[in-house]
Amino acid sequence: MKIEINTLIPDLHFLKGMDISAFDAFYIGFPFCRKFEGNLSEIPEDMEFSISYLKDKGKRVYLTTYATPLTRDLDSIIESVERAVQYGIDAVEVHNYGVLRMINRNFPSLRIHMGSFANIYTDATVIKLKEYGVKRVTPNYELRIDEIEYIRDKSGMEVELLLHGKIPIGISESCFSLEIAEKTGKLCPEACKQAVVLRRDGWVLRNMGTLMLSGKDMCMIEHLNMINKAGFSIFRINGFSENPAYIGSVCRIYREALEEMLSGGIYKREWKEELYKYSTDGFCNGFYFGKSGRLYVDAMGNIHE
Amino acid sequence: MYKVMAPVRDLGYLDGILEAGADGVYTGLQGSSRGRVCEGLQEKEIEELLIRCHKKGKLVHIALNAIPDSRLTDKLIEKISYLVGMGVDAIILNEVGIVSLAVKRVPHSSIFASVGCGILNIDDALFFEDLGVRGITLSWMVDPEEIYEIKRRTSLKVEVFFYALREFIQRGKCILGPYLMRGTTDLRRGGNCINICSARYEINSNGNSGVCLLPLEEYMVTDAFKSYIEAGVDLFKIQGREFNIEKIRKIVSIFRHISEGRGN
Repeated sequence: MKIEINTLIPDLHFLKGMDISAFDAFYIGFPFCRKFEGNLSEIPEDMEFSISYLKDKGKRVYLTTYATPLTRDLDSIIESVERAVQYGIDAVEVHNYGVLRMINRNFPSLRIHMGSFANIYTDATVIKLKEYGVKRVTPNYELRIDEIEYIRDKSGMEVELLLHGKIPIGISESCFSLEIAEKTGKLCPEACKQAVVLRRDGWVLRNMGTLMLSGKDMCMIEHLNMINKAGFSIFRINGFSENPAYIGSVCRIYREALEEMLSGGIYKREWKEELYKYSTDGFCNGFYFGKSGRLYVDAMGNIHE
Repeated sequence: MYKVMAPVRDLGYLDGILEAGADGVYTGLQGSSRGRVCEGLQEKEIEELLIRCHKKGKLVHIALNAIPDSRLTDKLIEKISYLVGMGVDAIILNEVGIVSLAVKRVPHSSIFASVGCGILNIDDALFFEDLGVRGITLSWMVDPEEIYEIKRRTSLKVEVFFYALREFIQRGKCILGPYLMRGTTDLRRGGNCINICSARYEINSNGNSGVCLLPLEEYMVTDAFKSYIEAGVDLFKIQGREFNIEKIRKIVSIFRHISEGRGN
């Protein structure tokens, strides 16, 4: 089975700071705020450079698009997709149905991936989306792994799973970084470059301006055997809210683990121990096991806060 | 002519809400709608609601906006079919696939796409019109100018909020509740929004620390009311199935006051 491990690169600073070698593919751009400084989907020359750089290294490159566009945003999204197509993009990620409709009409042969904020919960949605040129979906992160498996099998669609990193759990209308600008002294566009940590009663969240993230890192390293047996092969690792140096190392661990386990090897405890070094607030594994997203279910089924 | 839709969670509220001036009511079907399992009306109660409302020429919209597991969608479609057969004026749904199935399998249904569908732009509206919905509920993020464009280019009924609690995280773009407390707060799976986002949090950013509350504001269309009317809005919704009768009556009265041009 051929696997793909991908990640999101929001800007050139992140691209230049990371080791891309273990990844197969990259989503470029920051879909949660159009004003994000250096947003690769908004700055033509940075987009061109990053696509060309990554493709020269033999990587697949997907453009991600703004997740919550109003009518006034649509023309510039289409312009951005048009540029990316000219630069040789392999696919476009879409979170909004209006953007999907426009891209399907304007670029009928372009491969479309539907992102997690498109709110895909059922196989019926995925089957409908085939009519719009969609070739891959990321079901809403709220779904259990058995539901995702069912959706994939019933629809025959390629499905992407989040394997590691912070889980995007909400997009706000206003920018939290600006709400607290008095405390931080930072204004747009630099304010959201520094992730804010929110804590309450043992809960922890991260914020990057308009994006709310899990405070803990999603971690599926202990469950790769189950993931492999279920036949999943496309994985995302999130690290865009972290130091870029972190993400290449995380990907290398997962690649080694996936390849070893696919060839009949056994789980090694040091993989998780190594990953733990990069985590500031511990692990969770989201909604895959039907629990609160912030909890961690280990390979024995024990639940950890 | 535009209408105002008020929430009704208890049949005992109905006369009071209609007397205050609501043109129609909406509620959830117990077990298939957002909120705790015990909330919403049962099928028998919806039957009575329909008789009483239709006798007075009032609309009834029923929300089945909890998105089931893929393996349970047939049961949801059966419920939609039953409600449509009873004469419900519109069914409010929350996911593309469910909308698509309902339109196909329940041909005489009038389906509205809930605010949870995240419709924000003209092409979103066209996408849902292509799916076969008759109406859409828009977020307050969509301004009258953009609503005008939607009305001009589609034949959709457009519903906006007249009154709502405006949370920090966008409608249809939030899984914070189940991230923190699964079971009670799975908003799109039938749970209850307890505005967990608006709790008090300690914040830390690059060495700066403090305490904050994420914004949660009451939202009411007042000054912009005329602009929404001119844009062609068909329905104004009062959010708040959790509110008591006094609060709902008060908001309906304010709506009437403003809509009759008597100021804010």
